[in-house]
Amino acid sequence: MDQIEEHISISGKWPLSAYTWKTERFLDRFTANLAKKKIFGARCSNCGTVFVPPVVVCTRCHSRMSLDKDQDWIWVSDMGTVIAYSISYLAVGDGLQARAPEKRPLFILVRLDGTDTDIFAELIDTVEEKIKVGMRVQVAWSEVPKGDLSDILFFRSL
Amino acid sequence: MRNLAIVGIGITKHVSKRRDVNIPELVYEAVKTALDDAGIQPKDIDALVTGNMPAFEGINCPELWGGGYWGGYKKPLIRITTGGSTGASVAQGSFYMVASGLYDTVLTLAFEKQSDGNTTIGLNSTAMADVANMTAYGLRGPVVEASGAIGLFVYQATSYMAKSGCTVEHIDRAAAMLRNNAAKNPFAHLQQSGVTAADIAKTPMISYPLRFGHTCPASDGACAMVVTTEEKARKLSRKPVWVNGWAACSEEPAIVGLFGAGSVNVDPAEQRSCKLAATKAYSMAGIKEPWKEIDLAEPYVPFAYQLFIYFERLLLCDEGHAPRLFDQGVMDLQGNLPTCPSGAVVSSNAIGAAAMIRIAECALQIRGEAGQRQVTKEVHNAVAHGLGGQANFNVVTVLGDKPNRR
Repeated sequence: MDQIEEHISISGKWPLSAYTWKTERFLDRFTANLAKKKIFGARCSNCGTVFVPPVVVCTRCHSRMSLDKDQDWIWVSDMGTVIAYSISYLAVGDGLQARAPEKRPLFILVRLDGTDTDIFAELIDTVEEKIKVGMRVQVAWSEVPKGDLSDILFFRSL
Repeated sequence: MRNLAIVGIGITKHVSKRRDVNIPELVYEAVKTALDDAGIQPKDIDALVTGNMPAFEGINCPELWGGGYWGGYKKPLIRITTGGSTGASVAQGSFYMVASGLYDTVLTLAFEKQSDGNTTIGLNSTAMADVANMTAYGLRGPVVEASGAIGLFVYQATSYMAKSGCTVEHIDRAAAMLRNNAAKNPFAHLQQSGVTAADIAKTPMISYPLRFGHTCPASDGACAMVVTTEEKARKLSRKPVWVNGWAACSEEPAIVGLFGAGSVNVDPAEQRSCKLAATKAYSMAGIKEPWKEIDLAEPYVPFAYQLFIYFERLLLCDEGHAPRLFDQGVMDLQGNLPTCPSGAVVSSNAIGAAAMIRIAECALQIRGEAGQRQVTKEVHNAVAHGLGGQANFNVVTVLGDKPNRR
């Protein structure tokens, strides 16, 4: 049988920027407290699960939280435990480029004390050799927090 | 509920770019092979179930384009898509159809033609609603980058390693075994016969603990199977492969986008949903002690360390013991519980098809028709697994050489 010729290619674009998505307003209350270096979690009044950042419906027990009232909010610690981590060897940009060892960012999945959720963050002021599962870490607050999620993107080891 | 069996199997040779076919034509190859294997025509098919990743090739409802090529003319057809586990979910859709008595003979097919698509846009289309909102609230930069693609699984890897004592060297050795198995599989994408753990260890680290040598390629490929009733299976096939148990379980997303808006994030190495799905599927298949009764396993392994974690979460050994059993040769082609003789998803990843191929490979092993990758041990019962969603969706199928009398 003859080799089938290569097909004609037709290109197209699917721009995700054409769409809009909604997010919950009560995140405003969460981020406003970050400006005061305080972390607010949502505690399900039915099963006690604590979410950071907050959610409207408890994914454990399916109860709806009443975040317009104070009862379902709880202060949580800015300290936590590393659940998992990664060390980024390659920079994604214009192709993949190897990072110099001292420039490899350390990423962690942290469970803040008193919460049942894990959040992503970058671990700073820590050498690669010291990172491990179970290590204790704390939010590295900037002097003047901005009052958005970037305030809790960086942690340092305790 | 009726007994059912797989009587036809078609898998295409996986490659990085099939420039000579479009999606309907690529899938046609798998469908034709499966129909020929079953010795039937499209007129003998009562319904179809299809699936692939949504948006990865920029086409939703690809069955509108390909349905006619796949024998779907004037037939009921549904599409199922669950991320990485799509192929297994699609297959299970056909199992429900036959077991329920609604249809006798169902064609199930799954595919991905990654070279036609844009994986970044595809992934963004699944994560964007979550990530975009969090970005609006100040999430930025390197943390966003660290969550993409491989970024999702490095956390499962380090958490698992801390729990089990699995080392990067174990992952190198697992990758070497899987690459060598793939070299015996004519359908596999990567063909690297003779590659050693030392060779794998020389490949660059992407994100600790995963190197290039531990990761899957992007493939073009398709898989199709014919599923039918006990009565018809006995007429059509000399060796029907019985679908004795199946289950799927979803849990709270492990690492969704960023900050897991809308859900609890759980430790990605925990994988309770896999254990629950496995428990249910084994029970349905009448298997009480999987570590004794299962002869072969095809866990979903797009990254080499998952050979260990899913061997454990499929309840084939105690948690934390898989790396040691691997070192003892238990998972080899000649081993006591050969695992991923196909070379696994880490050697061929046409995403939508990948989890169905795990089932098809188990079926070929039970038929004794797996060629060079046929395991030494006689295979009576095998378990196939698919992993999807945000590492939170597990699909488990148990196959046997005899029907389980329920």
